[in-house]
Amino acid sequence: MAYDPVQSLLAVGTNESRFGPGRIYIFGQKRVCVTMTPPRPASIKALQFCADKLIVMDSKNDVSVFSLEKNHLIASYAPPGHVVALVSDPSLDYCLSGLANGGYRDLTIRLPLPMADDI
Amino acid sequence: MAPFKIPNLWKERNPRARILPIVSLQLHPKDIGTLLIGYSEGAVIYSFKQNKAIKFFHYEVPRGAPGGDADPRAIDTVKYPRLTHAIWHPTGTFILTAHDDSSLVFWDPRDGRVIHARTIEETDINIPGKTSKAGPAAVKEPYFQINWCSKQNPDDTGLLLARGSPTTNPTRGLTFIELGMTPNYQTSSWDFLAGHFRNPKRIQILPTPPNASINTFLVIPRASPHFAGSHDPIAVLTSLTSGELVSISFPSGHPISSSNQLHVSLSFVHPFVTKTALAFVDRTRWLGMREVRQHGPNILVGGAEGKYPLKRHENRNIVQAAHADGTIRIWDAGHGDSIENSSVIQVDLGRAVGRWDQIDVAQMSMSGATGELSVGLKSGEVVVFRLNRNERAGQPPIPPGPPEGPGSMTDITTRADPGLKEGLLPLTMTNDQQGPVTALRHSDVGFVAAGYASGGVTLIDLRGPAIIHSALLSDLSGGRSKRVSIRRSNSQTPSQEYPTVLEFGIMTLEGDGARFPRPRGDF
Repeated sequence: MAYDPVQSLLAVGTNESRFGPGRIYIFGQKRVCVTMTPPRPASIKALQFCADKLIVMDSKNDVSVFSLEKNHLIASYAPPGHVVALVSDPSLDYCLSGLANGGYRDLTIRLPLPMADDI
Repeated sequence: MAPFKIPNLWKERNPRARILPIVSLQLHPKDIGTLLIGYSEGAVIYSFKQNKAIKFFHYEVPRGAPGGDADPRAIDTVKYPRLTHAIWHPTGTFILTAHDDSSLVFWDPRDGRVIHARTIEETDINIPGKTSKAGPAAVKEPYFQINWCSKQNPDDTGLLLARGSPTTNPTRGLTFIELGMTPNYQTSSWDFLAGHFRNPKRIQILPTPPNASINTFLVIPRASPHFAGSHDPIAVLTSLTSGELVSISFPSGHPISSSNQLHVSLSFVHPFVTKTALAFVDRTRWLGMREVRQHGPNILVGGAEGKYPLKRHENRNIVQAAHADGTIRIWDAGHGDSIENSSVIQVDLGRAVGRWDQIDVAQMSMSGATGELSVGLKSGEVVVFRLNRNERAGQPPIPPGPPEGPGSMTDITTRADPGLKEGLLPLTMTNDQQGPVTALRHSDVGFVAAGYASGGVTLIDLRGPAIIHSALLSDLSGGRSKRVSIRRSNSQTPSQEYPTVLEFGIMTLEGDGARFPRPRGDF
């Protein structure tokens, strides 16, 4: 779950179950609701709001970026290992992910996310 | 996307370590160039500007010290408990590391030394010779999540923890350790700083339902998205292992209802829905059915509503959903059309009946024209609610009086929630003690028909309110039961038949023009 006090939105991610793949629901005032699905059917592990984008980490180790304005996926990144922690800040352009793979432990930063007017 | 990699920093300190996952990451709340990385052995502060690790924090429990779990067999060895969380103080003055033996260790980031180590109940657990106050070593659950929250002033802090208490402890919930104002770092001695953590202002438990433990929680801040989302919280949204959500107001701990705070989809798990029913209400009538209730500020006001076609001449589909906490929520289903009245009306069934356990809703029936709702419970009670203004709003509630016996109606208008000014208020209730309610119908003219598992049917007139007619189905269908008893000559009693559907019809009698309801039973 994640909450953005600036835009006053709540994002809830669900687990994959026998009823269907994991989904992300974003709720706003009254009945405002948007549903998004990750690129591959998986459970949602972590959510982070970052400016006008939502960063999602799921159980299949994909880190996906969704645009809140357009309500669809902008980019998806598969880090070379099992992502354990995700940290970002609303004032940043990038996010940090901590991995825990056997051998070389990495910390990856992804540089400026695609801007809203990129196609 | 150009990845920037930071190698495993703990390997510099301990090259022999093989399995060393990262367990926690947090940016410094005031300095974006500093990162606190938690490995399973210890924590590291890394600076982006200098591109190297600045400080290492490795927690060691010396011989003779009880440690977090006070295991008497291991008291004479040096222990290195695994780290599970590493977080910053809201102004970056201290670092907290939590370990899997449920110890909380406070460090000074400038110096690298331990200021204080404690669990929720015990203090100074890393000092040798300190005996633990608890008797036999109880197995403690590891912490699932820790947030270092602050009030409006980021120096006034407290720790919010999920789990971490002994498994024998019956109260479940979040533990809030209120630390109070942080002492001035420059002018305080080590002992004074340790005392700040040793003696918190108070330790409070924000309760959650006892059957499930907390999986994760989300702190809802009032205004600031920074400080890791834990600045000046107004509420906490907790997700339990049972899959339910519970909202708790912070710091008082009162549960918040999701009725007009969260989206209707979330209310399906807040708590679980046990029964639903559908009614058709006229569009103009539903526009006027809103409730006025005292509640906290709205936490969700974002997003823009989309435009959908307006269905002007049709009835609205109104869903009534009964939840496991004794409330019924009534809302417009609105499928693909513009919902003009999107507010949810909440009915406090538990308060109306006067008890909080064993409230299992068996049947619900809502009358579209009058806006009245009747609810039948598995314990045999029938409760009727009506849309009204609460005369007693704001006054303290009167304790419920003894219920009347079977066959008469109990007036429950005094049992409304004092915070509810206008809405569906309890009107009357009856307990006929004929078994669970199996069929219920609320007519549009002020009659309620209830059928019970024992085969009885009662008619209630809401003008009294009074029970005007009772009948047993076996009397109404006398011929059939005889045939059944011939075949089953061994059985003592004929098979029980009970009503499953009741319908009201409007008829005229001998040109009289009078209307009266006629219940029909199906078996």
